[in-house]
Amino acid sequence: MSDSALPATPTINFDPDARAIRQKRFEKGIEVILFAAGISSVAITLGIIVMLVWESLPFFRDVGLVKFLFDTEWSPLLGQPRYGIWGLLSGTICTTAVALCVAIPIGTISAIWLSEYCSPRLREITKPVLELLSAVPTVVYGFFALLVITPILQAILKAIGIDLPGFNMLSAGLVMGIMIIPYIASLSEDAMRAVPMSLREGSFAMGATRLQTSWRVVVPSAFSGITAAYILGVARAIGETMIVAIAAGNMAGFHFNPLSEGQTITAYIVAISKGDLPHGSLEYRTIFAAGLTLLVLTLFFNVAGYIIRKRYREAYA
Amino acid sequence: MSRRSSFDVNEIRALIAKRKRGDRLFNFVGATLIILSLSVLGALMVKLAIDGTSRLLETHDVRADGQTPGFRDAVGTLTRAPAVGELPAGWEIQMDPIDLRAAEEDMDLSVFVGQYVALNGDRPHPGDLLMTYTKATAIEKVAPGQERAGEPDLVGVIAKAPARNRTAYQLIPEPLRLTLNDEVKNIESLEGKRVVATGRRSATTGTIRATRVEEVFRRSFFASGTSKNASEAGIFPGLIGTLMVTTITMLMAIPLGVAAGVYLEEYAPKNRITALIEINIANLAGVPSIIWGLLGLSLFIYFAGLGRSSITAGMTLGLLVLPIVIIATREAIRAVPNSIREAAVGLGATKWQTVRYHVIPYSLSGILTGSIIALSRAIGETAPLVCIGAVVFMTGVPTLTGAFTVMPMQIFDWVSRPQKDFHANAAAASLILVLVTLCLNGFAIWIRFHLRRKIKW
Repeated sequence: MSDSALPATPTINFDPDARAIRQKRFEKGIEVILFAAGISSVAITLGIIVMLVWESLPFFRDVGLVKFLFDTEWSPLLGQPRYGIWGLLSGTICTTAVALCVAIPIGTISAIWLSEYCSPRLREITKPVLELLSAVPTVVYGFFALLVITPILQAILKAIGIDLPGFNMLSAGLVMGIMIIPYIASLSEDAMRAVPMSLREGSFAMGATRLQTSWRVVVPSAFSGITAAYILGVARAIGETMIVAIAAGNMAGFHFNPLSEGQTITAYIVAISKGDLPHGSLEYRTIFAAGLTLLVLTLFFNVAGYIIRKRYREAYA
Repeated sequence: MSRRSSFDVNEIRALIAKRKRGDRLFNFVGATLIILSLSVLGALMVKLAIDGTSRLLETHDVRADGQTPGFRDAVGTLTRAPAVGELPAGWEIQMDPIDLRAAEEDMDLSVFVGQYVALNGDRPHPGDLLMTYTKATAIEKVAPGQERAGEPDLVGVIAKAPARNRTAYQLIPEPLRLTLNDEVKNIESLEGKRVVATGRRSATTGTIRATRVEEVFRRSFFASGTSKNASEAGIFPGLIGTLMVTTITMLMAIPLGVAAGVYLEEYAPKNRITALIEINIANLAGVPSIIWGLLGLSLFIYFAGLGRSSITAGMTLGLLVLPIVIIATREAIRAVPNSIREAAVGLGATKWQTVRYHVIPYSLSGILTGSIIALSRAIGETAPLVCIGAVVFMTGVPTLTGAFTVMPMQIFDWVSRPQKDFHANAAAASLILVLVTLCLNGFAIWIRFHLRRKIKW
């Protein structure tokens, strides 16, 4: 090829190696940014734990872990303050128990109905609508519990001769149970749907009705998933704040009677935060101690539920 | 079960029938339970609508000439017209207005003594009694049994005694006696006639007007702020605060959440660290909302020194809804089939190019659904904002760095008060909040539904 015969071609600055290097750096940069976003969740968890521990450590140093864990009265704002977490834990346990008594039967039966009896088209509508129950803001549920459920319960119980106080854990627990039904129903139904059709078909081939199939074949197979659903429901109930803050009252006490007023850990934190506490005082630190207890409890249940769920998902993979 | 050597057809038929009955019964029970649960939601909405109408709707008088008076006008009702007899329904006395609200400024209250005024801010319904404004010495609250004639619960105290006059003023309800000034030929000629309303004290003048009542949307509920008077309190600061806080929340949660979700699905190797991050996100999704409030209190307010502001609230709520966005993004990206990725790579695209130009566009609707659900969660959260210090009584509008309030906080405060009036406010605000939440969730469900039908790989 002779230079004089061809027309002058413009020179293009085309260096494939430089472009590749630039692109590789760009890609690596993107990956670093995305990794940082991914690792931020770990940072957040660490932040929560560190913050709770750091703020409540002086409290535990002053009050002592033994008194905290084994005393039954919680009255940190009185002249003679008592710091037994059981005063609050009993409220949490009581409301959670009432909520589960409502949510577990209704949720499980709904889940069985949805997965075994319901036509797929109807299920597509019903399942999201049921999940709307859990989408309502909890303040509104608190309003409902205080102003609708409590008067109804008072009227019903008066007929039997029981006097129900205006603030009680029964109505708060009932409404909390209604709120948790979609959690349990949804997760249980997912677990039941994961059971292979062949098991059901075998049962039908033996002449069983849908009722027998669901209770004797499907539910036992999906049992770990259903248990995970219950555990996650418990975790949700333990952490619920506004319903109990509005409807269950503000008196912490060590009793498991739902017909009386009680205070849960979460309601206590809200009640104290509403007021004015000097930063760093012992009363201020009590909310962090209570929060730490709450976190430990919910973490335990959430991790248990997560592990069980992973296990049942892999069983049918 | 014992083995039967002979088969009795009828027994077997009975057994089968029993099983089928049980099956049908369970079918019925299951459907009924779900319907009952949903009817609780319906009952909630009905209760909110019933209780909240007094704050959301109001009757307006429309004058014969079509003009609508402002709702703060004083209005009187004919209770007794001795010179005329019974006026047909639809006639009212339009009292010359006296705006009692001027009394809240520093002015001489004795001007109002003896005048007939409407209740401060509230619009009396046709048939209500008017009240006189009179001076009472050293009585701030009327003890039960000491109420004067009229409806006892209409007795009140002017909310703020002005600086000069330390005396508390008392409103006393009184029935009106009305006298027409001019002679009346027929009913229709009453329109425009002037009347003098006399009570125990001095007279006030008014004009008879034909009225037409209509229910209109009570704009003042949305336009006014907090007030000690329940019927005046509105949700305006709450609305602005919710808008600001949720904007900051979404600005923080969506980029961070989508980035994290993309990383976990596309870039993360299957090792221990990734498993740890996954467990972490599942944990964070289950952390109670009040603990996020404690985090915000300790980290953003005191450690970082940001103070009790909308920014703090937005960041705290952003962290709260972050797991929701991450999980939704992951599910959306997971739903994109591998063939698309492989095709892109086959054409020479880099990892980021496939993600940016092929994976993310297909998963956008799923990400959008997750964002809407996160938004509806953020709108309804109260507990963390109580911790962060959302106030309930604020004058003016929330600002980015100053005191702020949100609608759920207003509802919480109004519900916690013992006076029944505020419960109506709470009901009205709750109705708005629930409708917004249900609409958002319904929108998300619709998108998801549409998605499933539309996408054909």
